[in-house]
Amino acid sequence: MSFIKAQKARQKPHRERAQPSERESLGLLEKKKDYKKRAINYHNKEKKLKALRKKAQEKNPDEFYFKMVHKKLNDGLHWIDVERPEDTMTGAQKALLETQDMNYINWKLNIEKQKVAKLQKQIIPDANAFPKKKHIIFVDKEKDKPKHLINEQKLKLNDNESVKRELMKRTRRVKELEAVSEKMFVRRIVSQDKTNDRTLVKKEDMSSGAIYKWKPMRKR
Amino acid sequence: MVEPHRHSGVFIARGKEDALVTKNLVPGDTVYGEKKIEVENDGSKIEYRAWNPFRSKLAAAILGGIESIHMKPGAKVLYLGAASGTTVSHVSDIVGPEGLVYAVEFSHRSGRDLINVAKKRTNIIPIIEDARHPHKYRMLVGMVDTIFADVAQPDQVRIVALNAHNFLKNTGHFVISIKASCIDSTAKPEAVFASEVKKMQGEKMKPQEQMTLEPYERDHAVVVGIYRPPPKNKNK
Repeated sequence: MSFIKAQKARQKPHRERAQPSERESLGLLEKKKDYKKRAINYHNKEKKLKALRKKAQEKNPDEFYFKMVHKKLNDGLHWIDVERPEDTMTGAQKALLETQDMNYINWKLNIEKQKVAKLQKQIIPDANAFPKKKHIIFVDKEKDKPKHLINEQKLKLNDNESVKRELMKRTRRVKELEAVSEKMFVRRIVSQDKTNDRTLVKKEDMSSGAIYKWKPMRKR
Repeated sequence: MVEPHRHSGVFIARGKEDALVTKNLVPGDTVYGEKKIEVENDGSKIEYRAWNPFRSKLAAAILGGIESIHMKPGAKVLYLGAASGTTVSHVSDIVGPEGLVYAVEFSHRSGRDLINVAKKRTNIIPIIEDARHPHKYRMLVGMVDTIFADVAQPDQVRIVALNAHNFLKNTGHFVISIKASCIDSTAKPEAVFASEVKKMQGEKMKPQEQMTLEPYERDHAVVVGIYRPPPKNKNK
């Protein structure tokens, strides 16, 4: 029996099916375990709503609740003083964690950029975008001139469809990573800023981080 | 399906997409993660390695249709600017066990990779020296049939000429890959190639052929020529 198990170690690991490229707009392909999570979550919410509805129905309007005393009205909103969860990390620890995340993103971005550069080298550009190949043969006398160049064996070369597809995906990923890196950078600077002398120029959006303008300050 | 190319020692693998290949001198071993193609022939297996024209100027020249590379099984080749030994490994495949490749590289970093390649391929002799000083490795190198140079230095022709005077036999051939921007980045590539060809003629090196490497490389040319050509017969 153990021999069969040993053989199993050598076989190719089974990989799950990915979302086909033509259905990419629908996001990642949902697997059974994902569906399970979604379904359990959905039913939990249903149960909670049901319980709340029941509670509301059976409420006794004459009954006294302590929240009637603790609750405050603030700008038309009901507030109860809830105890905040205890902070388990110092500011320095948080900052360190943030830089680690940023380093990881930048590292991945660098790798991706290098891969893009490598792929771009492999793509044969359009023939008209490139100067034509020039082949010169030097001869002493006019009569030594070859009548025609040797017939070259024709090669059917890679049309680099797959390379182009991979390049497109990787450039898209580079853009995403760049946006994340930029957002993290701006957020970190803002969180460390103690002067608060900044004005927002542009809000953070899908493709780039927020842009702030600081008051010019003289450095000593 | 593998069929021989016009240049002996080089083969073409036919398939969904064709590829330039060389017969692997050390079956089972790859040098830089290139593809291997195995062909069964009357019970014996022959292994070929794919040659990427985007990584090798020699492969780009062959695919471009250069008339001759002057490297054939049994030839002795002096390879200047061997780098990590990727193209050198294919040249060693071409010349085979009877041939020799003297691979000169100045940089220690890529020289390390070159030495690792040479450990497995016994027909490569790695030399970590400056190609400007051929006297430093004169005791290692014998007379050679062909010099290949890809050194990307402004005085490339002088370097090749120095080595040719020392090691290249009469009527031996040289194959030089020229990167225009390395020689003069302000002049036009055609002008750079022409001036390099002119320089060769002053060194008893007679160019026979010049070809640019589009679409694999931009502003690169390969010049093939003969060293100390035989005198012309005037009676003819």
